[in-house]
Amino acid sequence: MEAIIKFENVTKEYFLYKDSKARFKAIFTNNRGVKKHTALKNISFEIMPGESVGIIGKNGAGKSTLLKMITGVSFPTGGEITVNGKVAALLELTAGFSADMTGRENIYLKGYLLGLNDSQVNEIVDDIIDFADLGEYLDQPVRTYSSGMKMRLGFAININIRPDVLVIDEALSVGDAEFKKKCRNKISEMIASGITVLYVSHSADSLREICTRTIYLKDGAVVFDGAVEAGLEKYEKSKSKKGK
Amino acid sequence: MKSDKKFGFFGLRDIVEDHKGYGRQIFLLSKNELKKQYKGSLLGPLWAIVKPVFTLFILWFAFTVGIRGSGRINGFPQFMFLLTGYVPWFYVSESILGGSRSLRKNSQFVTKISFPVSNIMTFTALSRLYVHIFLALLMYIVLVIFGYCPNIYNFQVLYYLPLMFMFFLALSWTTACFSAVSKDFENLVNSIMTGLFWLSGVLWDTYGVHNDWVRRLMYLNPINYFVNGYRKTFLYEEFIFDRVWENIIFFGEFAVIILLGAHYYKKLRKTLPDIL
Repeated sequence: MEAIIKFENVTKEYFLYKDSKARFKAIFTNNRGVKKHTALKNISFEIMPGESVGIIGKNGAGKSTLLKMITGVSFPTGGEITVNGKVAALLELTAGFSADMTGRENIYLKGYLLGLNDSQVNEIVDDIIDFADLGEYLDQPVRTYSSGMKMRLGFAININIRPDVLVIDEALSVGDAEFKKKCRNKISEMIASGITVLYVSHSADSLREICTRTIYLKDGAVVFDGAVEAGLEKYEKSKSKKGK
Repeated sequence: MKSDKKFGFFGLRDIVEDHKGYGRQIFLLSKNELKKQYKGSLLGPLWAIVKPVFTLFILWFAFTVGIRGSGRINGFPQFMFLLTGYVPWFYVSESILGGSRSLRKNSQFVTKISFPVSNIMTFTALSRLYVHIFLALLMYIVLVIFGYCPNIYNFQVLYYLPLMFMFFLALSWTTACFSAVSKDFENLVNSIMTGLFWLSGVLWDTYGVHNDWVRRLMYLNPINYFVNGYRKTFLYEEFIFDRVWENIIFFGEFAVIILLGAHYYKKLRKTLPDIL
């Protein structure tokens, strides 16, 4: 079987500009002499279709950088990333919304942004409307929405585009308890259907519940890749060591 | 950063790839861009029309009612001369400024979702084009009323309009990327625009300069190509390629702008999400 996500010796460096003068200079000097921060160092792994992988690590370990590259927003400085399939990221749910268009128009807009065409959006638009449950607000401009409503719409769109890979950040909040439950059920349903899941979380319980494998990142490197329980143990150990 | 050493044309291929299958989306986003600019106001996008029309009205008032009969430029009434210069100028200045700001204004498309970034420049440019077409129509109506049009030369607009769109779009490939890296570059563009207005033949006739060298020097400013082009089309009844050097210089510059734009776009595309 072919891997659905493949990282080969992926390195990611960020430029750290000292000030705006350095930025201006960088245009003409091809970033020569600019300080760099290495967020990921020579990372390799493969994820097979249907796997549920938890990504753990402290803040700044490189989790977000990793996810951003999987979703195709950011690009590696070195190495190669292959993603074979449509990725739905539950990270930036409201990104790409246009405040002055109605909810309905935004479903189409966001659908196009996620790479669907008209007929593909038409197929799922009812599911989205149904899931977001916006009532009369559906035909109102998104700027009149509460933040919870925006999240609901964003979640409904992202989850209904029939992705092959689902990227979830636990820190995500999607409104009231009732909707949260609805989201959790939907995610469980999708996992059961055999979708590939990448899950970023600090909660050991939900990792145990959802994932079959963990990748533990520390200072931009993979220090563990394997069973959930063993990964969590290692993570806990390094955390408590730091605490002393 | 390991920058790709491949030059020019490869970046152009990236930009073409970006646009494949995105026609509908670009159209939708360009409409949205227009709405966004004037959101919350009663007239909405109509402001994009009202502002230049008001300027033109003032010009008409000043030159036709105020300083009555104060002379002609290149044989035409001052107002007609200014009208045919200002209408392309509004588009040029809006596209240069809007183009260089486009990535910063739409940074969410770069930093939050996976999106073909060069399309941002395209939908921004398109949103300006709608306004221009409307203004150009108004201009045409005025010219017809005063008896300067219609004539066969008017069809030349089908050459100048798409070319103008492409030229300033290609320019924004460079300026937008640079402005995304450094806000100072954006400010630099703003400052240059003010000076450029006086160096462009909006208020005066660059063809009418007596010194041969200075007159040819004015060909170096691509804005003149379009401002004078509009006058050839709607006022002078002159053919596009009548002035050979003007065309040669313009297309030379256009080629350089395209290659530079493609080069810098390719070079900076992958770092944009990190620095915006």
